[in-house]
Amino acid sequence: MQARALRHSAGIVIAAAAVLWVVIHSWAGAPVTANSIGQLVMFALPIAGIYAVQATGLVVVYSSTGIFNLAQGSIGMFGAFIYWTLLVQWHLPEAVALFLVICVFAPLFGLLLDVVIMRRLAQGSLIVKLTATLGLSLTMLGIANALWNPNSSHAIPPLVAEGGVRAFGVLLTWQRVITIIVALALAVALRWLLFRTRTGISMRAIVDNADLASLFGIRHARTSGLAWILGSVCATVASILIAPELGNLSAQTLSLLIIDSFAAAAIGRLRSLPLTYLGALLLGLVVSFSSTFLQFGGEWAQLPSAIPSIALLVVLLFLPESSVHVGRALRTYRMESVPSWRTVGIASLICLTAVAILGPLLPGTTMLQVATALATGVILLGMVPLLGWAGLPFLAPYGLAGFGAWLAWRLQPDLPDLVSILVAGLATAVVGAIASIPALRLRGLYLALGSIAFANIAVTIIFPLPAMLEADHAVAPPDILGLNLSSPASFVIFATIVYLLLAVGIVWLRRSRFGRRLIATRESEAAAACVGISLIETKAIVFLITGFIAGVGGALLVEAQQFVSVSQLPLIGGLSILLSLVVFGIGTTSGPLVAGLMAAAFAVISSDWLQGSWGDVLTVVGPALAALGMINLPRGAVPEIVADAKDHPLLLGARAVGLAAGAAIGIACHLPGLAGVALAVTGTITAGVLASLYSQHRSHALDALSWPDRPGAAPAERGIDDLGLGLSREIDDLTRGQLDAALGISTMGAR
Amino acid sequence: MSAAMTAPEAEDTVLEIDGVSVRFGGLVAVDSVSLSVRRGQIMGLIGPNGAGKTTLFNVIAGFQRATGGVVRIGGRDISRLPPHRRARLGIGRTFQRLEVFGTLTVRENVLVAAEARRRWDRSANPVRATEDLLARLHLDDIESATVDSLPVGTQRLVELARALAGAPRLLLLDEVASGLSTWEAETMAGLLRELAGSGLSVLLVEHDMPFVMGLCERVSMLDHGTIVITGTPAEVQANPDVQAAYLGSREAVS
Repeated sequence: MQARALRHSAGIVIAAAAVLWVVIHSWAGAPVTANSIGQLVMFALPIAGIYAVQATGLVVVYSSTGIFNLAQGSIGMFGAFIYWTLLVQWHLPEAVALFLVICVFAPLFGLLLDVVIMRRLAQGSLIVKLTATLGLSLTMLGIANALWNPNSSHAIPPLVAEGGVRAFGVLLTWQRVITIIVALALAVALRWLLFRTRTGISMRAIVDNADLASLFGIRHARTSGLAWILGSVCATVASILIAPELGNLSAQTLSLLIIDSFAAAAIGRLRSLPLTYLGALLLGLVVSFSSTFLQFGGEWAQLPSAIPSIALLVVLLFLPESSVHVGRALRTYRMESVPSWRTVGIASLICLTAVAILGPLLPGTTMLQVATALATGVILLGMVPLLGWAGLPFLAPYGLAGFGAWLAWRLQPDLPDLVSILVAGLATAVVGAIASIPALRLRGLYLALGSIAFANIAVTIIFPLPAMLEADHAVAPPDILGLNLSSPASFVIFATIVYLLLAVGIVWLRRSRFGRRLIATRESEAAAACVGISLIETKAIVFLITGFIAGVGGALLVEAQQFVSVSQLPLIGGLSILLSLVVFGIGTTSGPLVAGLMAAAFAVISSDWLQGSWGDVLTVVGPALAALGMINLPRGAVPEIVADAKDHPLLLGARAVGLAAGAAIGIACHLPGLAGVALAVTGTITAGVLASLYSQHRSHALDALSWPDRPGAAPAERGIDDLGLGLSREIDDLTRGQLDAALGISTMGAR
Repeated sequence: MSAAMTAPEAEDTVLEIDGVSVRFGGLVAVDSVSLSVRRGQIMGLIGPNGAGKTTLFNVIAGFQRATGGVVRIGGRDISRLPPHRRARLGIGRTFQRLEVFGTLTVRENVLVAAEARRRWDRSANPVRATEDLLARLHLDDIESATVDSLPVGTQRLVELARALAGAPRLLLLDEVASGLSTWEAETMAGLLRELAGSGLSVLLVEHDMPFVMGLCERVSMLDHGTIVITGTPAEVQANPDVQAAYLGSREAVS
């Protein structure tokens, strides 16, 4: 315990020193007077108010439903845009518009989310829960871009046009005064709700112990509905309060704003509202301090916008270590079938033959897309051991790949291309290990939050550094072992070989001793520790592996596109390709490739076929919608399609119809080849999602009976195990005999 | 019977708990408990629900930090070590609520543990150790079955095999007989006696009184976080406090 205290104090000293260094170096020179400190506080309070309202929504939903709502920002964004429509477009009075948005739209939308999507997720794994809210967020982002053209102006006027309170020589606008009041009122209202009303007390009981609460007859449906209503209202209120400060409404900015509130929620340990408010206040003070007293010039000019993300990482480092969780992880993966070497060999041969034959036949632009798809596939392949096997929700694929991309460009003049790709991989492995530091000690959800913050920091301040990718650079076509790969067709062959080598590598990894160790760690951290497996070491190794593969993928990406730019590594794009990966099979080696091809296909559609905002819509909405369908495809589409084809002819039929319809439309409209394929795939997925939603609707009654420990019980198992006893096959005399023999019990005379 | 089972090296203490306390806020879950387990000894820990038995187990295995006191394995203070380091020093355990690697096969469950052992015992041969254990627990017929697909009783055997794969000095069994049929429990008891005969120490928490009393050499009764009595099964059964705890208060009985 002393060692821990020592580590803790050492950490605090280092962090304090770093902060001090930054403060001294960036000191703007303003005098510290009572007046300037008063101004600081006056700026801090409204910011803190926004964080508090946002984070409260996160905490209320998480603590009563177990779902961390990554779509919180998007829900608020939607509310703000609807408010704009009512107020500015339809010229409704402000009070009426506010009432309709906050008291009608927001609660109804929250309730709808709960009933249609979220309640079904209650027993899902962390990754499925996160994926679903992420998919929701991207879907709403896409719909907003379609409904409200991002290229035209949507500005919300402040609630009170002019005036405010004057203090310390500055004017606190009424908008900001209202923000502070709303945050305080929300705190009082929640305090009353949670401690004085029956429903509120039920909510707190669920936080403490959901199983026990249900034994006492607390109806989970009612509390989770209320939680989602509260979350949705908080999101909308915060969004409407902040929107006038941001000028023109941007769907993306408003959606991503929620990342800034993560730190406040993390300080509240995602449970405690008072601590969340304290966190919001601290965060507001830090942000205000930096804008009042500090000046970040030159290459660090973007730093202030990343302060909340940096704060989150700092908070995560100092959160107390979570004790090893006893209690089985929820089963949401059925056993991923590890491909046999024969399958791997045949699949590799087919891929190689296909690219070798098709390469010269297809147009160069198509091959360029295929090369991009392969590079994306490699980046996603790196995520397979981490997300699929270790079950660690790391959501920043481009955050890692960016380092590989940068190094591949930077090292190109100095090193042979093959070596620079390898070095890019190795260096990114180190970055991966560093990025894993908060994750090693903390529970999965904090890793997800930390990784989003990491991606945000990477995109906003690290990649745009002058030493990195401030400007776009051309990347020369690579020379590999004396062969020039400047033609897309030859590069595709090279990229395919790299993909296959890495895929074989991770299949070998999965079959190895370490692979077993990873699965064991995912299935039960407690039991893994009890057989002497070091969880920290295991997680660190898997981050190294992921970093290496993602770095190689990043290098391939820039060499495929022959330029390097921050725009190749978007935060939203990273989330979107991850959704595709989850959809196509997070624990498979084919999933990344299909996901990469899918992303490329969507990119083709949006650039070649659909003009304007609808293109962007499809890019994000496609994977996002599919991710929502994931509720039914826990292993990912590739393995599930194979398994489901046997169990559910309906689904297979729906997919076939979707595929045929998509292809027919594509041909009828004379779409370019890849776009037609993409349309067909979209049709297939949509039909499949619809069919599985339909069949899930029908099997919902059976779900209610399943044993809480075994939510992942496969639909196929339900027939013989309707009461959820955990039986996987029918108990007949033969089985009974086998089991008795297995247990060493001879058949008793009595029977 | 208990006298006959006493291990020859009677002084060889494997586990020593000295004044261990655990407080959760104001609640004292374990209140300066001391007990020790000798080599080859099977010791039982009984007590009503909430007495602190599982908390004590978690303290020994490293999942719960004690607020006071010392835990020693073979004389070495392990109070501050994380769970995996304790496992490497020879503590194996099973869980009250099963903790199996559900999507792995029976064989892989045991193999993972046997392979982990190579970290501290280079001479270990994981594959052979696994095969031996599977055969010994009669799991070899179903070694390629996914553990999640097995009945609870069999899963308990898998957990036991996995705990034994690390070749522990001390085995902590948390309600290992629950969910087992009488016959399965008998088999389990026979196996544990055999293992104890070859020098393994066992500390077990159990509610099944005939199982505990028939198997253990010594039994401790825990109530409200303190040890009420430690003694032979006969002594413990005769103790009025134990009877009160299990049959209701003395007033109610008389």
